[in-house]
Amino acid sequence: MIIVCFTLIPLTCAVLLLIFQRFSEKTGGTVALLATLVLLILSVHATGLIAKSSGLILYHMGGWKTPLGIDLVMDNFSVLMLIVVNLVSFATVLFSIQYMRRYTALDKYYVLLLFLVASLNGVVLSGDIFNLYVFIEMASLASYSLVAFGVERPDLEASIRYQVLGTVGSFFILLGIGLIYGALGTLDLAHMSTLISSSNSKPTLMLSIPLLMFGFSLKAALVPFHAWLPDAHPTAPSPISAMLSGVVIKVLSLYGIGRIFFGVFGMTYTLSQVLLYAGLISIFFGALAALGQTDFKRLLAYSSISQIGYIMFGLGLGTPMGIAGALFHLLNHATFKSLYFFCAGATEYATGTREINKLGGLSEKMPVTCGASLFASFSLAGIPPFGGFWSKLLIIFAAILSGNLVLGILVASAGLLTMGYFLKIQRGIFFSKLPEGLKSVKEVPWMMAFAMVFMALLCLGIGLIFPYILSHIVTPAANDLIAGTGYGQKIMGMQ
Amino acid sequence: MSIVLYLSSIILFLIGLYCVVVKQNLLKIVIGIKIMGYGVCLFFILLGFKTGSQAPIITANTQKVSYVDPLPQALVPAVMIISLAAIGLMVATCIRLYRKYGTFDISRIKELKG
Repeated sequence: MIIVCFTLIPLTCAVLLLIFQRFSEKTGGTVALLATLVLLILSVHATGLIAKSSGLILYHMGGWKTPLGIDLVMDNFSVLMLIVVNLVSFATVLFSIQYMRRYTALDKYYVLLLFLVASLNGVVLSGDIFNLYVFIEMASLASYSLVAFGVERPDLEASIRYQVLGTVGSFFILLGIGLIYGALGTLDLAHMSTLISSSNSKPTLMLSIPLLMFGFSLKAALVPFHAWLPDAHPTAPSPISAMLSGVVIKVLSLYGIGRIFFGVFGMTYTLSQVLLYAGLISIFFGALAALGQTDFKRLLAYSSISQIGYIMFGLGLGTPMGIAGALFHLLNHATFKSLYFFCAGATEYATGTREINKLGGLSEKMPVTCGASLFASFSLAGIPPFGGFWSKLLIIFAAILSGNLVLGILVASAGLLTMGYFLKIQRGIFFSKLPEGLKSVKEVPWMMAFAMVFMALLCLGIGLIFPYILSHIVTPAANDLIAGTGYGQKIMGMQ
Repeated sequence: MSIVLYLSSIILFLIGLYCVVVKQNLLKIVIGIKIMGYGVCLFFILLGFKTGSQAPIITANTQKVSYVDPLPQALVPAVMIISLAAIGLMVATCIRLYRKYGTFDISRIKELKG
């Protein structure tokens, strides 16, 4: 029953907000904060629940059993994603309450944000491929409109690019789903994965793989398809950038790749090589492009491309250690990148600009923001004992242990580029000489500061208790992916 | 015969994709996306279609004949509603862009670096 709450609570709150918000402007923030707090508590509770129930909780919508009805499935991989989604969305709402006051039409903001949270939770819990598509589309629609929320020229332009590419990607995913349905006659992920090995229409299935891969790569902004991301993520309001970079690209694409390619099709050599090299190219392209940026948030967006590359690379290695490293990096990236976007939002809130050349010396004026951004950059650059260090270490070790010594060294050396752009941010914004125009800058209001401190402590905390997180949350999730098509047999066996 | 129908739905999809990639006018791009959507919907309908079969309505006195697959027919309305929402949002954004720039030409709407 708890599974339904993850989509039901934010959806109900969103609809209620639509009705009641016209009476008072302030209800939006409070209701959204409460809803996301409840979801965060529920998703932490789910880790205990899933450990007790042999790693799988099923819910049959309307009581129809598995191949016939639509299932909601919660396994360890879903729980990891749930924690990521609800953690970042809670911090986002906390940060939004004061940050968003300068925008108009606030009532619509919280409704859209809650719709986004509901659909992201729906994506990670869905056990039916068409349902997965519907939730992906719902999350995309919410993020398209949130990117355009400022309705100024750059917002609209970024949003229309994102919309065109995102919709094209969705149609490719849908065509792939159609081909799978034509070949197997089922839409249930579990049923599909049990039928796939004995299917006699292999060519049709083979054709559906590149279509799905193309669609998901468009949504993940893997390098040849990245054009929309450096526009869409920086122009959105900062809390939304945190949400998009920290959660949305992961859930809409990496989760889909993990679930469909690992769980349903079973990973093949070719596919893992595609992920491995696409990831490697993304790592270098993103880091090199980030070095050349002068806009704070644009730099962070390119950095996201690079860090998503690390996750893809780890998944492509296919060894238990590589996958665990990738999933742990997914959790770490969600914390430090959303924290970084909060810092960028706080800087923009206080000074009114995000150009690195026009900023400088803010460490005295904004000590909390400066401290938080330091925590984020330590985690991003992989400095022990922060979380990012352990996950990158795992990925590099996994690459070397699986015999890809050269790739391991290449990935390790990409860390230098990461170091380069994080030094550029720190020196350019927080530690150089304070320009004349910024003498009167003040620290941001307390709720924004609190959200940043919360995420900063998480960045450090994940690193300090990493053996616990690794053994209780990440490794079970990685085991679910390694089990491959065992996913389907396990669910079908539970009937 | 049926393979021609399948191919034609894929060709429709590709015509839409061509339109999205090549056209300079925002509204034409939106139309291209709509055509892609029609291609996918047609493909789904064809998946359930069998020549010479009936609608799957079973009453006490129906004889055992072959039925068309009703599931894709149920999926298509969902796809249509989703693409309707997407197109609505896209056209609304286009109108806002037209008010700001006075043009639908994407080669003249580029303040961002890409």
